[in-house]
Amino acid sequence: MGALGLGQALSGGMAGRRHAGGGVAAMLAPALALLILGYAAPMGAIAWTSLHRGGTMGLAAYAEVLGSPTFFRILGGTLQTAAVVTLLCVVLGYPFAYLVATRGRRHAGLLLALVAVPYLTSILIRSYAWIAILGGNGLVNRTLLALALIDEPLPLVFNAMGSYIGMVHVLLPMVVLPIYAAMRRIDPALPLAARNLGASSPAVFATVYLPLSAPGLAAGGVLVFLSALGFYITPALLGAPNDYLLAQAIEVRVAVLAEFDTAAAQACVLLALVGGLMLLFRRRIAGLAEGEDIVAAPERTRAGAGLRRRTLGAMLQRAPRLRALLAALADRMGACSGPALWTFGLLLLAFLLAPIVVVALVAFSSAPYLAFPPPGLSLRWVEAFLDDRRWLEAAAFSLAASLVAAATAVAVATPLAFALARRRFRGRQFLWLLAVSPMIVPHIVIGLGLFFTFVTVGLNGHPASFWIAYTVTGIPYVVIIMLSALRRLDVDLERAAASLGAHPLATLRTVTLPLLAVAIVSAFLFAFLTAFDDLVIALFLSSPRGTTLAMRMWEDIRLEISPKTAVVGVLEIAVLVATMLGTALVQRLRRTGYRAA
Amino acid sequence: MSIAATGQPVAVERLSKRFGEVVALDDVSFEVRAGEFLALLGPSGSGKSTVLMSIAGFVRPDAGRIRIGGRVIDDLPPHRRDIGMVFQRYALFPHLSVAENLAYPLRRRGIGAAEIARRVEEVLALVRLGGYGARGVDQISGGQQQRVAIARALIFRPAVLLMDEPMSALDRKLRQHMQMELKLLHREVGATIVLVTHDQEEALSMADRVAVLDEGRLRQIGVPEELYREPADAFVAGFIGQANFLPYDAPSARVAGFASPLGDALPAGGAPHCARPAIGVRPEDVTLHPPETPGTEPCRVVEAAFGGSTQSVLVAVGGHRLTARMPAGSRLWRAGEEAGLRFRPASCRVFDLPAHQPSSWSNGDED
Repeated sequence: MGALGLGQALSGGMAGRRHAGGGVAAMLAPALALLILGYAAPMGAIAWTSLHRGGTMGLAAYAEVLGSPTFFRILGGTLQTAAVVTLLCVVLGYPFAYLVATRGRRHAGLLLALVAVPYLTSILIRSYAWIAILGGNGLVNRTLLALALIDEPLPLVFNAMGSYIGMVHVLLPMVVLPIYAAMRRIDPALPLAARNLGASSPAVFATVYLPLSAPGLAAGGVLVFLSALGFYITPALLGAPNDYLLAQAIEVRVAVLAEFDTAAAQACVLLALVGGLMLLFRRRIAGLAEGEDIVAAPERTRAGAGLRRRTLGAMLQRAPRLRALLAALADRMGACSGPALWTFGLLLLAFLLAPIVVVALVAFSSAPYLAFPPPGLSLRWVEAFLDDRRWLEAAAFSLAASLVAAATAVAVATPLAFALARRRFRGRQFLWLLAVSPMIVPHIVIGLGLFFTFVTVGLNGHPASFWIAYTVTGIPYVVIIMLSALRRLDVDLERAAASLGAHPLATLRTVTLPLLAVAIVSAFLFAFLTAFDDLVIALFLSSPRGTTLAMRMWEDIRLEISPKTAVVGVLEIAVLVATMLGTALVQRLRRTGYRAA
Repeated sequence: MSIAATGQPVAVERLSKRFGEVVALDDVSFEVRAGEFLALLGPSGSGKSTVLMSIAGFVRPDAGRIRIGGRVIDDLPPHRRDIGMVFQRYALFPHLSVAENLAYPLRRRGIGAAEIARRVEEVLALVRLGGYGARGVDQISGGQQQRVAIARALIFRPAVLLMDEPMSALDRKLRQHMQMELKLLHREVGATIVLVTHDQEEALSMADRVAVLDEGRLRQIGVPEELYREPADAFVAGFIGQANFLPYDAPSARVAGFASPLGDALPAGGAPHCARPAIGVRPEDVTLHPPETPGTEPCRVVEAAFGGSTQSVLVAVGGHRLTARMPAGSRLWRAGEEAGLRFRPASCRVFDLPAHQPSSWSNGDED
């Protein structure tokens, strides 16, 4: 296919219709090849390994796993943890999203950025910060002891409590952002109409806001639950040492026991659980990624809610006094809900940002060990980091692998997103799920599969294995961000360019790509951060040939907990904030630039 | 003015297009003369936009061909057609300034920087936006955006200028102003213009000729007066201006239910043979008189509306309802009054009503 055909295929010009078949294939092929190599094949390798013991095929591994009460205890514990974390996230995240969407619109950008910054910092570094905050010698216990509220430190970490706190902190933004997006889609005239029709503000909330934002709530909840099922780092660092979740159990079987077949069988069970739920809730997840048109319109059945409302209404009808009392109460609540919401919101932001502040302080601590608050300030840990060749080498390796993988993900997944957004072809929905699912399938499963695959071909630990792995984990972010940007891009702009005489490739260069530039940059950033922050996949791929910075930090946290990890955290956050500010600045300059010109 | 006199004739020949099960265009043919301003008028889904998109090259018709200046352009990609287009929401590039938007088509044609600068200034002056070149397109008003869109579509001297509902994003007052501006610009530049609109007032007041489309078919094409005075069918009669339709009894040559015959209200030559004959009459051709005036049909005033220079009166007559419009100066009618009704001579036309249309109806106010 010539350059003309490619340009037309990308810009969706009708004149390229004759090349359409070839166009779609060319747009899909690179992403598909990497997804097969780095994702489908590893899943196959897990299934194959789980079905083979000692060279013979059979269900021995499954029989052992499913016959073990320990496995079911772990599975039950995992489901329970995921459920509790989901509930906490929804209960905390919904009012916060409501606050931002209704009362904080002027500061929405800032508030959401404050939510996003911890989301984008390494889970490893955040878990490390929680140890500093919640540990026996940490911030919370010291404060309480100093205030003489307690006599001895509370067990806040290295137990279920620590696990919950750490996981909620990681997953909260995942529920806040979709709920906020759903709330922003609510026509602002609707609550006013409800007020005008006689609803008190709590009634407006219950009858208009809640039902209309429910799809975002459900989507966020599903995503949090699925992610929590495969959690590894947070429970491993903050949870009870002897209370494994499923992901930890799998890792132990591989790393400590070397029982590959049962590890694979457990991974298959986890994969079946996540995959099944993912297929069951694919509409919700698609709605979350604004990919509604790909999977079908989200259904709008709220029969249950209608029933409840009717019976409640009937009850109130029979008790006029109760009704009046409730109405008065509702008016009161309406009056004081603003300050209460803001207080809650600020507390939640403090919760979200506390680890970052702590990391920054610990990084410049003069203490020879993790202590908070630090006894004094010094640059000794910054120097220690800069003097440590092993850490610097690992940092360089991580940086290189993540940059190359993020660039590859953008390069292969952008054409894929174009094809998904603009072409109609068979298997489109399947392809979307395939490309997006590495975001939802637990990385412990992906890592295990990559390990089996790369060991077979002798690539394990080779930089190429990291490149393939991190490209696969970056593709979902690129696809989701680019699809959403393409949906917002007015096709008439490209048509206008064509009518003004622009060749399809010129249209791509002068209109389409400049308008997608911000999306491309953020897609790259997300793909890069996912790769750079990864620990779980590196646990399986690392070797003397290649070790990532996350692996160094992980070993460090497990062995000695020196503030060197905090130094990395500070560097990472600084780069992140600089990038976010830089993007915002470029956008603002571009907007005001014309006036100066 | 160097932009002037570039218009080419356009010939649309037997165009057909289906989108799945939906027939968007069914054998549509018409011609636009060089320098002519043609409006494609029809309700939404009539196929008018599909015609425009086919000329621009964004929709490939299933059958038929399009010529510009005598040359068949069916196999030319959109960017080689040399057709200016003003999009409904203007499609100004948000990442480029006003001047960069205007320069865009010239850059694509490899024109030198000095020539581009000269022509951008010239076209900015033409649409009275001198000094706005450095602005971002989101820093100017809706009316100004529209003028930029028109200027951008004219700057490369296209053979034809297409406009897709260009007034729909403007408020009513600005719209009337821009309609006049566009007419002036058309006279000044002499371009061939094809405008798509669903607003009959806009079509009638701006275009040299109007083509009426409905359900993918061309119903009638002609100058505005012709469409108004001699509509080809009930759809055109109802869509252009207002009309009352009443079931027609051919053997007795009267409206079904009327006591008196139509007489001279029917044009000479009588009625064509139809399956569901109905007479169509414009409200201003219906006059009201005191009750029992000889030669009038007794009726009752249901509702009357005062409209400044005119009054509109809804009357019930012979089991039907119809609207009359008279100068407000004559006599103001009140609801409940008895009256006599008459049609002006040669004002009624007989149409064959389509099956889905009720046999007695009066189409609503324009807009």
